[in-house]
Amino acid sequence: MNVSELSGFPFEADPMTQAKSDPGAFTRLYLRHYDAIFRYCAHRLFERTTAEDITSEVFLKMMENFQTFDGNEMQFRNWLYRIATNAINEHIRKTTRRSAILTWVWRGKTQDDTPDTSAADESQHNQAVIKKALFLLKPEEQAIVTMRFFENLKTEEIAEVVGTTASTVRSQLSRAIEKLRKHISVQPDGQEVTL
Amino acid sequence: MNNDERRLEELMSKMAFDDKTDHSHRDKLQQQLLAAFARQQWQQERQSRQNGVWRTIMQNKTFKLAAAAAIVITGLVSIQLFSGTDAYAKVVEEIKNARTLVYTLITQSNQGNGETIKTDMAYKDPGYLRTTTIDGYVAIVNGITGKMMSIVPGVGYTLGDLKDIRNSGAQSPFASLEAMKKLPDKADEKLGEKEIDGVNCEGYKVTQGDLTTIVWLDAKTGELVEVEHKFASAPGMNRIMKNIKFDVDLDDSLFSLEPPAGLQPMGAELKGDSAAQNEQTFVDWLRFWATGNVDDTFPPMVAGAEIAKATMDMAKQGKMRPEVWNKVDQGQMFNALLFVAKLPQDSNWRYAGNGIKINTPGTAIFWYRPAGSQMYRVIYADLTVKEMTEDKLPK
Repeated sequence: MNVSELSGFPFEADPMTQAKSDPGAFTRLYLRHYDAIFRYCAHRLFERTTAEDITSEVFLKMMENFQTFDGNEMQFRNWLYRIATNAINEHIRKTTRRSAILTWVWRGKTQDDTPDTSAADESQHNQAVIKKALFLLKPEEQAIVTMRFFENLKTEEIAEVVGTTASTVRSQLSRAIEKLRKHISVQPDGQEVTL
Repeated sequence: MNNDERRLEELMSKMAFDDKTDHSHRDKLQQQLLAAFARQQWQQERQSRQNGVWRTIMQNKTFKLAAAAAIVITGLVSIQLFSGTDAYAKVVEEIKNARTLVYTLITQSNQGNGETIKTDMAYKDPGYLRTTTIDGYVAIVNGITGKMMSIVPGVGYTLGDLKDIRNSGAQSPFASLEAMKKLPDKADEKLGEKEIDGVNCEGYKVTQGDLTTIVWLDAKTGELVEVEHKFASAPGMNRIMKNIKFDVDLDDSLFSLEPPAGLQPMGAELKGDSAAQNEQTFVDWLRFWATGNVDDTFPPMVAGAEIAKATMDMAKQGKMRPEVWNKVDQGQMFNALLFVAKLPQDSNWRYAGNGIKINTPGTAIFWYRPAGSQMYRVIYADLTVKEMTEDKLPK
């Protein structure tokens, strides 16, 4: 993915330099990245209000150092992901959100132990299983899995976000997947999961 | 990618999330960021008395002249945006007691292609006003002394005097704010419900002469969500006020007319001349603009902050003709734009010159009805003027 493919916006000549002095260019830069960062937060937290709060925190934090940021737009995007990752991890550690979310994603199963029969119920059940499994990972592992599978970032890009090497990311990803596999049993057709 | 990863990816791709962007949150955050952006720029300007960027830009003489023009236009924004804009019903009491007021004003223009302009407004008792466009163009007005200052960030500033407008009997920038405080406590009509930015709202309608105000309140909490203005005499020129907050802490420095450190003055202090604010001055300015750009077209609009930005953009793109812009007369421009700014709503003026080349045959670019007249004055692309009745106006 190159810069011009981000959020489907056309490439803008030297947008970072322009955005530092031109509020219009700054606004366009913000709009190009808002959706991706919000979605990442929502995919990590499964909850809109908190995801919006963290998204605000990310951009306001970015604003504090924007004038001294020295990089291209791709690096800027990775920088936003890095701020978001740190903010989300911090949020998960500081609050009881982790257990609250676990309860929330699992509510459907615990409230009704009767096996689901309809396709919709099955799909809902599968989703709850995956969400719960994701939340059983360490926040750092969950970040890597989310960036890889939901945001479609390459391992090299994830490495830049989390400040490590691509090979380390691949190892961490491999370990995280192994953990997920312990919680999720994936059938060969990829349709059924259990915990 | 191994098989496990592929299976996981497939499973995850089918997961449903509540991850659709809420534009209301996005827009609010955008305003916060732009405010922070403006603060940073302001601080930078204060810190760097002569920054290199400014010097480089200003070495281009045409750009300098265009910047001077943009400054003039920006200064007028405060007048145009405040003409008849502010009114709400249910919150009359809050308004009467408010010491400060901030909101985002969205104007839907009937000029050109019907551009929408978004401006942040801040008002502070006893009569200070600051407007900031999305592109950072600032106008500050002291309603007591009539003095004003307009700023194009990173470029320059100019001072102006609006006393002429106050003395002319035209609406002052604050007249509508005062009128708002006289709104009746009870609305004329209660409207149905409508969802605004995800909030279920109830509408209250107040009609005062030409102006219809609709106040939208949160149906659950009764809090003010949005105010809409519609003008019977000017269909399409709607105004919407959002993000309205009372009694927020506004530092006096926001309304200071002290020139920002690091910025250079762009021309002499602007003073309006009532005698020169007439149709002929406006026609002369249209000619100046159309012959001063390489496309030979009329300006994209004749009011609002966007024209300042358009002027700067054209200069940056090298579309200005230096031989014409070397002769720019800031005073003439100020008076020409004041001619439009002071036209009352019931003049029903329209501008249709966006993208039209000068001397295009048979094409009307501007029309209005002078006060007390039944006939309209129509300016054509060859800059001739004809009088006609309303039914003969271009559609």
